[in-house]
Amino acid sequence: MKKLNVVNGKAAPQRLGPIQPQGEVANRVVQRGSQFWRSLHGRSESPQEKDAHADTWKEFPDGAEELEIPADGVSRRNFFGLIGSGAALAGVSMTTTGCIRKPQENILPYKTRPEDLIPGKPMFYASAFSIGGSVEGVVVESHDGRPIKLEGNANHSGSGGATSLYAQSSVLDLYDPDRSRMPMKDGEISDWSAARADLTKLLDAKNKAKGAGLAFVVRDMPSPTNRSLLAGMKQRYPQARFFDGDPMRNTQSMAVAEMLAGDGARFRYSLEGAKVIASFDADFLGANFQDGNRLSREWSGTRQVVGPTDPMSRLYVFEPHLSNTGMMADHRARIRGSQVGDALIALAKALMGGKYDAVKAPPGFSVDALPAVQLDEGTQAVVDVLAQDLAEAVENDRCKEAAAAAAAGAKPSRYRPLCKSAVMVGERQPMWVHALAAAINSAVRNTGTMVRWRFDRSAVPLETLSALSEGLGKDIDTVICVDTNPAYDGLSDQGLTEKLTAATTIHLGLYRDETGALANWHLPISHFLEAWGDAESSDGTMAIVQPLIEPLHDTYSDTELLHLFATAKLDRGSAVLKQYWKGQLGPSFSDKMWRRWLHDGVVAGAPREVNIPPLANWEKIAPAVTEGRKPVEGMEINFHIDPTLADGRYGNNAWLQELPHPVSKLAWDNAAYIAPGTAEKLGVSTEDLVTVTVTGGGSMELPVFIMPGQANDTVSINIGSGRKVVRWDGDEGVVSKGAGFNANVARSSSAAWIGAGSVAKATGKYALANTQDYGSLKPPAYLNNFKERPIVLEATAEEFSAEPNFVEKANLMDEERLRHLWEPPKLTGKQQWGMSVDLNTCTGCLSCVIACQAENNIAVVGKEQVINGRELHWIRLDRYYRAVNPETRYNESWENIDDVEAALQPMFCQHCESAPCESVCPVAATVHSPEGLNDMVYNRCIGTRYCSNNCPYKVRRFNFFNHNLGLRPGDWKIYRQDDKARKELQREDAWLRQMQKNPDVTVRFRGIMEKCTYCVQRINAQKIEAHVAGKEVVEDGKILTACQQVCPTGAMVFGDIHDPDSAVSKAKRSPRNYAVLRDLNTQPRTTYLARIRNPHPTLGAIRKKAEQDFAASIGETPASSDAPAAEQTGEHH
Amino acid sequence: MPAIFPRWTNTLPVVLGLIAPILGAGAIFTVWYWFSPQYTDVGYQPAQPVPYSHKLHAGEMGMDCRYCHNTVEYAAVAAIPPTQTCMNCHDGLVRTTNPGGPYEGRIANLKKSWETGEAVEWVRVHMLPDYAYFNHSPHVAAGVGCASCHGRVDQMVVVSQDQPLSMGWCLDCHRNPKPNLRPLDQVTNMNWDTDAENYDPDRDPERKRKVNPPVHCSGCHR
Repeated sequence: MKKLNVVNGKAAPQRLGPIQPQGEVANRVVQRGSQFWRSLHGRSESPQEKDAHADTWKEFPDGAEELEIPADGVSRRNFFGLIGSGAALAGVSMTTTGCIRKPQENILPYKTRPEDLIPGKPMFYASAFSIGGSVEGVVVESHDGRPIKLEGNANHSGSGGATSLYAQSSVLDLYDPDRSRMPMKDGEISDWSAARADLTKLLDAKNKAKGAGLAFVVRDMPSPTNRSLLAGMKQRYPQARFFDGDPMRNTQSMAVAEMLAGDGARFRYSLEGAKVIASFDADFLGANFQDGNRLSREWSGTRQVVGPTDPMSRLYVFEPHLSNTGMMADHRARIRGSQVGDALIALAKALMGGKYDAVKAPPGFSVDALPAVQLDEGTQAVVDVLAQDLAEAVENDRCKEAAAAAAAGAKPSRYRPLCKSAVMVGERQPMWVHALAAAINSAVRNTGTMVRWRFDRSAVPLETLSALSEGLGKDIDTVICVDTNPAYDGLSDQGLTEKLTAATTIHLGLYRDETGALANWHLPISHFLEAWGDAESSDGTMAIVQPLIEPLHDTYSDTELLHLFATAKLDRGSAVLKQYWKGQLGPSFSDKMWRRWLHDGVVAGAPREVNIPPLANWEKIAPAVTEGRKPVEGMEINFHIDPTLADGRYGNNAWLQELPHPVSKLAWDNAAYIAPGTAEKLGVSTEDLVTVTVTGGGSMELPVFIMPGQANDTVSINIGSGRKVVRWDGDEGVVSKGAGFNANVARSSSAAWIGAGSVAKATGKYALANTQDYGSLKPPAYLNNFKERPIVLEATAEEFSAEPNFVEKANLMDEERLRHLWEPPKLTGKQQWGMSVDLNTCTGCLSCVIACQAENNIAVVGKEQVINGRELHWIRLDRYYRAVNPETRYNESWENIDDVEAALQPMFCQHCESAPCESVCPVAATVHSPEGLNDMVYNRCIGTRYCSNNCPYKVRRFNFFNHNLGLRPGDWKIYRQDDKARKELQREDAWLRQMQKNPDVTVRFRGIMEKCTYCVQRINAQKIEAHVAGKEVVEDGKILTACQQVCPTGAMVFGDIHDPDSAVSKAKRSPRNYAVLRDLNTQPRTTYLARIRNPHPTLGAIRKKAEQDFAASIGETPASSDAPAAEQTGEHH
Repeated sequence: MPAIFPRWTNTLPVVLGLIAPILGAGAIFTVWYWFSPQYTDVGYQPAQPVPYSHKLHAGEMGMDCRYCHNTVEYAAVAAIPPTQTCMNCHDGLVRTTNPGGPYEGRIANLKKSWETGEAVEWVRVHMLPDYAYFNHSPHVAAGVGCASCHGRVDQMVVVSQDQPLSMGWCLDCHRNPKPNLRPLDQVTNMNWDTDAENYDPDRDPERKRKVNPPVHCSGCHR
């Protein structure tokens, strides 16, 4: 065991060995940091066998160097022959065309230039994006009339200047060549005049029949105008029925709200000033949770820690499937989905069982009426401390102090007092769980502060798709799907595909999707960037949606078509919208006001009634619990809304398909997520195909992905994959084709989210693209005789207060030993750019990855190339696991690594001052700027890839193909074929796609290395502006990198590190600041702030003791600061 | 045994030794001279859809460059003016619209654009590669004269490229910008004579900051 510091059989001189972490805390931090692993392939094995597992460390994936063109089978030799002749031809053309000028370019000015438009300068317009019940105000960047990028609107409460990943990627849908372009009747291309004639005839008939037999399937509509049009439709067709076709709609919490407070009642969560947050299967840091963007921001406000005395919230998570929220948890109980409600019952009993005086159960609600539940020991322990924490928060001195201080006129401090609590439940959980949470929130006095209630007066009651399925067999004969896709969303027992085919179906949508393909009429609608509209947030904030561009195709907006249904007249969307608002405001409406709304993106001055509903009916909760509680025996099948594809509406969005899942890091596919122990029991491993059958539902075949953190005997499957989009020309949508598996065929209405079922091994394997199996930053210890260096550093709040400088004390490299191997570049610039990333607030939401992709024209490479490790994302969001139980960390059995905690680290070019990539480039294509940027010069790059090889952070990306031509190498063949019409269409598609590109950034060609530039185009734009204004330096905060701007939690800060007052300098002065791999002396400009976990003292102490006992049991003595204990501590990882 | 190589081949090394350097030098010269932007690009003078004369407008009439290229101080591109700008004067101007007159038809394309709303398809003269992100505004703000890069446009009937616009040419000035700087109010003055004026930008009180052009890659490439 004592061999690491032994060189050639002799003890190595002390100078060669690493210096030791100083002190007990630092030692623990280093140990903890070294225990993180990224991939099951790279998991640390037992300390004894570690050196034997050479391939646990993968810098590059297998096959990364190989050229494979599977479609036409060009071999490597053929390929070299081809490029050889290509070079010869190029030589010939050089000599013949070398003296001929480059092709002529034309400049086409306007006839009359629009006011304020300066060619080449972007314009910004406010609008709003909505998904489910979440609304985000956005500011859209438009270049010469082309919207290319969305930013958050700081005026809008749902955005706060940031956006979700969905808003970021929605711009790609606008230019998607697979979008529907014209009305289609029964699969044949038609036009609007025929469509209108048919529609008018149909709707007139339905009008005469008072709407009998007519059904509308609509989305959760946050648009007041659209809701008023729905009301108009109800008038015109009184007997028509309205169905909910939006899987993202909060049906369960709405049902509870209406039970407790009457029709139209709604509640929303708030986390401002929260001290204790409990999430019961609520992934509120993810984009699928209602107002996830706002909640992330509010949550980060409770986690911003500079000094050890700063207060910090504590996050408890109870969930079956590791989520963004689960990764950020201080305590995570890994329980089955059907047990989440049980944990809440236990919490209610612990809280309101009479132990805590401050907690007052709501009138009529008694915990005695709740059924008895049995939780496992660990979960019960977490529930107990949570109850203690919640009760403490009710009577928190800090709140009283703050209230007294505020009354005395004191300004609120930067850290607003953290004194409140919130208990949140996810939409997957049945209605009774939400009801119980409402009772608990009321008991701990969160109602009105952390859970805010209101009446949604314009809410339209909607029936379920099951009701539609029943009705379709009987009285419903005509279904109009407004931007919904029931043929895909319908569950296995609803049989909507057949029933909709039999009925008269009219489909309105961006794509000719599953429903569009079977519909009698498919009518294309405009993208929200092409249409007028409005949106109301859950907190009542109104925003106007304004179009950025005329519809690219022959489309009408949903508002225009709803107006057609409601009034039989086709009017322009702007007129319909203005008419609605004029009607709302009456004489106080003015054009000036309207323009102000459009400019600000938020409606101001509209009268708002205060309508907070009184809560009652608490006595209904206990019966609801007894009635609704359905324990699941045996294997439990969980379904989740996909964290990157939503309910499937982004199935043809290439950015989102290629975006790795926030936890599993799977791109392009969904899978059956199974815990390691359960997989071992079932005898399956990653990529094995299994048949998942839901009791009372259907079954599906999909590959397994072994995922630590998953509850035992559960399977989690994301819905939203396995989409099918059919273009008007009959081709299948190129992105969604073959990506993932449709889980809706297995779900049933009784087990839509959680249900019993079985998993059986099927034959065969299915290749999955995972981005965490390679590109490791952590070379194994045998490569050198260094102690393995922690990449992520984290401490507990207790450790942080005991040793505020734990980061510095955990340094493993003597400063004196750091030497430059070459002369570092001269940094003469007046401003020196740098970045700080706070690991305490980075939730891994992935918005930055998409924002970077949109801003920097990063191509999508397709699944095959991701498998080869050739994805081009400039930001890689590394996710690390660490087994919770120390005994299991080295254990061979996978069962013991089920329970993990996760750490996150966004990794992108670190802009090393002494950059290893620069010293190996033979053509100086990557060089240093005087302002500390590691410049990548595309036009010099010859593609040797030495730089990528030499980059210790593995952040350089190489364009193996010209990915801008098509998604997969196979697609390029279409380009080469002789079908002229086809070729013309391809060219048109390419034009559409290239309209999204940011003109300020080079579009890279094949054979070019690329990587994060710190958004040098944004730096240059601000520098130019400052210089033109006669200023020497750019003001702090003027330059926002794309990732920083989109970050909902403000985890990323960019700026001038030479200015001591800049935000980034302040962030870097934190004692938590550290540089990854600082022992390589690369002097990275991007540094990280170590994460602080905040476990409950009781449980924290238990865990600490277990760790220490284990360390002692394997003979590892914790080092103390003065002991030269190199040999003892140098070998464990 | 007869010699494999005839006797005259003995002279080959000498001949080759003499010719090869000449050929080599010739090849280098060919590339160095004929492939350079100085040869390929300077003097590029494409035909324009409207026979617009800068000599007449900027030279004889003395119109300021910024009357038409009015975005040059704010934006990357000195925008080609919209048809509207031309029509500010030309709408109803007799000389160029008079049927049968000497200038008839000269602005036919302009009128067509004005009537139909279609753009006039001007041909770009000064073309930089797409990976070079040139921006006019800081150059104008620094006091680099239009004529420094575009030449005496006021003497051109049809605009042609005056300077090579190659990277080396850019860097020559970026490394030593002083000779090309002038007072900030003389930027559009075509007659400004740098040599004669003996202007020192360092002593100009009008200048708020010292000109410090970038010479690193990301200054222009990104």
